[in-house]
Parts: sequence; structure tokens; C-alpha cells
Amino acid sequence: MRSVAVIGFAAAVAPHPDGRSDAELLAPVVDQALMAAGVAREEVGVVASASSEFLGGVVGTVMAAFDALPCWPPRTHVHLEGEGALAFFEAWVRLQAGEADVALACAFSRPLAPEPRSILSLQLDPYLVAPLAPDPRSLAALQARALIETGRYEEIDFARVTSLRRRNVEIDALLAQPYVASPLRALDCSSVCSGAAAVVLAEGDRAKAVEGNPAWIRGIEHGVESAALGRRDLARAPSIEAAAATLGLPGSIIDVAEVHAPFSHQELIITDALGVKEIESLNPSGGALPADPLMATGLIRIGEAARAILEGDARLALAHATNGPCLQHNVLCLLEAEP
Amino acid sequence: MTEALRAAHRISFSYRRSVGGALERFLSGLARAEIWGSLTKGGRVLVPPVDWEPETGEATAALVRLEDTGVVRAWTWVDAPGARQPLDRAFAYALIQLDGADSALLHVVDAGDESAMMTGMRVQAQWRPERSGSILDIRAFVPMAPGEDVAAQRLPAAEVSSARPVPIPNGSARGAAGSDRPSGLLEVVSDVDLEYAYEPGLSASRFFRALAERRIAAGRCPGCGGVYVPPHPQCPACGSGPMAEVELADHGVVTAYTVVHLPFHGMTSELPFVSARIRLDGADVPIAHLLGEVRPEEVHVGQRVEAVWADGEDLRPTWEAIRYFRPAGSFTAASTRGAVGPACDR
Repeated sequence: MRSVAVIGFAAAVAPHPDGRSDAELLAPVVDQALMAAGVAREEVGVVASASSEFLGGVVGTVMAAFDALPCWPPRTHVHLEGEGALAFFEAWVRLQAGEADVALACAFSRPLAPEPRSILSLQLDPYLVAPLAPDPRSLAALQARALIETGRYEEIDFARVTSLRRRNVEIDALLAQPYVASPLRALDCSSVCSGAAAVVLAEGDRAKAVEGNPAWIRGIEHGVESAALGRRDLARAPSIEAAAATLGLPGSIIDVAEVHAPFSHQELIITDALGVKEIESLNPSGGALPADPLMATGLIRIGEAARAILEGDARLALAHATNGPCLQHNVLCLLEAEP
Repeated sequence: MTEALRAAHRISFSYRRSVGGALERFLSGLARAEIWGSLTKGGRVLVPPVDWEPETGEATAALVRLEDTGVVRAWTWVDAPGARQPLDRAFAYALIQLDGADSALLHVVDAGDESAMMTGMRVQAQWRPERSGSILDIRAFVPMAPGEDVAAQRLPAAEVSSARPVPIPNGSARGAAGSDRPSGLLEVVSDVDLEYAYEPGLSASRFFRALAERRIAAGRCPGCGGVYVPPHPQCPACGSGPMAEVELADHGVVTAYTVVHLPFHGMTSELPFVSARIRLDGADVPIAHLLGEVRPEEVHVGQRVEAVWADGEDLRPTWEAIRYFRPAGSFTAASTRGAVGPACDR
């Protein structure tokens, strides 16, 4: 295995579509990430990008977004219709394969539908689930109910998570709000917005040449749950448990963890599944609840975890990213200050 | 700075998906108001049924028929159903474990009021009178009053497995399940209808707004000097930006073309028509547009062409502000042929 580290990160979110195109949203973020890493555009050997065209609604718009990427003269460029954390995984694999010494992983999102989250319903089983037209919020609410039925958590625990992540809301005030999909309230569900993120990765020698503290990738694991919701134990996340075991997380102490929970109860399921002894700082960025640029949110978690090491605030940092209904597909990335 | 454009945008399309195997047997069972599950070699019953066991990849052993009653394992309440949701009054989505099954089925519960919902409540399928082999053949599950809960009385939990119907081997299940339809002909039609408020971005907005004024806006890269039309936010080649705003004349040369003879969905021109790549004078990249006022056999690469602009209400911030390009009167084809290099895409 080659040693690979994150050496630069930048992200931006916009509360509403603000008139900019994908490229206009992404370009300054890519420039900032490269500048933070001290990497010239020509030096990037592999580009892995991610987005969902269904969110923007016009087929082929990803091509215009590529204006923002260092793709000329031609080099390896992979684009994924999906979560940016998987573009990060792809970039890491390409570096492991020796295709390049520096890679850029990025994601961008402009959800332009009046109800952006409803577009995610296209991910559902078309035979037996889609005809029932459940929205992702209702499916998350089924999971929240299943979690309550285990007796491990109550609604007040969801409100505690929401209060911590959104920072300016009191638990009592949250519990006084009506349900949008019982047992979830509006603020238990993430605020979907536009956004872009870019992460620069480099192999060992190149990363060591960087000023500051590279965030060395100690391991990346990902796994997916059954597509059939009724065959899953929704109160648990076996794919996270398996990934955490492979990374040796159970019983360990993590300085900073950034987990991707678009719904408050999911933060509880994720942190339980990690099996760690202690997380000193959980979601210092605020996590996915206050700002959720669909398909970029998970990559931002990786970037924020890396930032803690890059800025010297952590020795061991963990990032989690997810995609699909009810935490269906999960990525874990463990980062460390030492190579 | 140009005000950003925004337009309503709607996409509608349908998929027709054929089904087979256990899924087809499940759906054709629904058409007969029957619920079938699959029995795994390990003795579990999965509803909806599957052809292969998820954990082992082994073929499932048999299909078994289940009662249409069960228990709500998780639920959420929908106060204001959307147009595409199955009921037009408030209802619950629920994961329902049918009696005798080891997995749950997602469906809806028509309980009238959220206060009637409870995890662990017993429900029964309410079938539509006309059924087509769809999950919606079950209109909804409805709460069961204790007195009408025949299945619960007949099937104490401990005896559920022994009370299961006799399993039918998968190989002969189609006939046994009563379907007279050859496998694979059942279809599930998915109608997708998506609405957006599309925004093309600031650079593109500047371009389209200029078109509505019969002007062609372009951008010059501050790094390599390349001139792009429409303008890009930054140079796709060297990454420099922002581009300097420049304007181009509405004429140029054909760099490539094709004569379209086959009709297609959304076509707006009469056949045959000429689709061309045109490099406007001063630009480094071509645009795509239509050619008009010319016979297809007279079109050639290097031909000089000029824009024919729309009038009145048709002169709007869209590509249609230019109706088409036509051969430019002041130049002959012969004098320019050969003077043009290959298509100049960078």
C-alpha cells in the first residue's frame, strides 16, 4: 500500500440556488483547495468528481461543470453520479494503483427542484416501493420509529442532537414543534442547500513536501445494506459496524469525528455502530443537519475531519459518509497525523 | 452584473419494466388477492419473495402463501399526502410483518387518525376490487379490531411456522400459484414526472440575455487568450478566469454539419434539415445551430454563414432568438474553402 494523505480541502455552501452554475459554484472551491495544498493545476494527475444530474434536472450539465476542473491537457477524470465520498474513494484507489501522485476529489450540488429531497425517491425499488411514493423523510421516520422501539433512545435524544448541531435551538422548543413525519420534526431533517467541496490527496513523498500536517489516510472502508428496507434492522447499521471493525475502531479514542447524518436520529445509529470508546469532538463543523448539499455532504465530512488534522487540532480523526435511504450505503475514512 | 435567468423545467418519462422469477410470482399473486413469500433453506420466510437468499446467495427453496394479516413494526404519519401518494387522506407508511413472515413489507395503513397508530398493532390488507399485479392491488392495510382478528386466534405465535401452507418448490410455483401467464410478461410501468426551477448560471444568463438583444456575448480567457462562445465562467483549457467580456459578430464559417433525415421526439424543424457547427468570426470554438435557406447538398465545410434573427415575441433569451444561419451573401463558397482550418475545438 502507498501512503496517501489529504493535503488540502475547501468547501462552500449556498442556502438557496443563487443564480450560479455548477462550474461557477465549484471553480472557487477547487482553486482554494489547490491553493491550500500548494498544488498547481498541472500537477493533478487524477480528477474524481461527483454530483447527481437528477438534482439539477438537465442532462449533460456535468460537462459544463468540468470547466472548473483541471482536466486539460487530458488526464484521468472519473465522474460519479452519486456521493462525493465515493469520488474520494475512487481518487484514493487511483493513487494506490500508482496512476498519479496527486489527485483531486470534488463534488457539487445545485438541487433545483422545489422539493429537492423528493428527487432522491428515484433511488427506490421501482417495483414494490416507488409505486407507494414514500419520500426519503418518511423512510427516515420509519427508521427513527424503529430506533425508538428498541428502547435505546427517545424523541428527546433526537432533539438533543438537533439542538447541538443547529446550535441556536432549545430542546424544549424543538419538542414543542409539530411532526413533519412522526417521530421526526422539521429541524430533525437536514436543510438541503447548494454546495461544492474539493479535497486534494497526495502520495507519501509528495505529501511530506507540504507545509503543515498532512492527514494520512489510515484506511477507507465502505459497505452497502440490502435494498429491501423490510429485510433490514433499521435501528442498526451493520455495514458501518463491519467497516469500523476492519478499521480497528471498537474501543478506540477518536479526537474528531465527522459523521454524515441527514436526520438527527441517524447520528445516534452511526455513533453506536462505530463502537468507539470515546469521541472527543463530534461534528465540530455542525454536521449535515444545518447544511446538506446532497452528494457533496459526505465529502465535506471527510474534508472537515482532515481539516482537524491539517490545522493541528487532532491526531486521529474519523469521517463517515452515507448515501441512499436510511443509511443504506456507508463510507468510513480514518485519518491520522502520523504517516 | 447580469441578473441570473431562471425557468420552469419539467421532465416526464416512463419506464416499462418486465419482471420475472419470484417478483413476478409475487405480483401475479397480488392480482389474485394472494400474498406469496419465499422460504429459504434456513427456514426463514421472506416477503416480498426473492429468488436467492441475500446472505448466502443460495436459491430459495420454495414459495409459500401467507395470510394477508400482520403486525406493524414501524410507522410514520403523512398528514398531507402528495398527488402521487397512494391515499388522498392522511395515512401512515408502515413496515408490516405479515403473519408467518420473517421480514417486513413496506405499505400504507389507512387508520383515519394518527392516534389510531401504534407499533405492534394488527392490520389486514384491504384489496382493490380490480387488480393488475401491482403492489397497489392492496389499497391499504387497515387496523383490525380484536374480534375480527381471526389469524391471531388461529395462529398463536409459537405455531406460526407449523401452520404455514405446504411449500411449493420454486420450479413448479408458477402453475401452482395459479398464474396462467408465461413468466416475464408482467410489466411494471414507472411514470417519472419531475419539476425544477432551472438556472443556467451567470455566464450563460449573460449570453442568453444578449441574444434577446441580437447581440452575441463571448468571453476571452485572461490566461491563454482563447475566445469562447457562449462565455464560460473560467477557461476550460488553462483554468484562468474570470473571462473578459467580448462581443462577436453574427457571422462565421461552417466547421462541420450533418443532414438530418430521421424524425425524433421534440423535433421542431421539417425534415430534412441541416444541423451545423459554426465558428463565429473571432471565436476559438464553434457553436451548434441550424442552417436554413440552403439546399442540403449545397452545404459544405468552410461555407460562410450569417444569423437570421427572430422577431417580436420570438426574440427572447433562448437559442431560438437566432432562427437559423444562412449562407452569407457577400462571400462565395469557393473563395473561403480551404481558408479554414480543422474544427477548432480546444
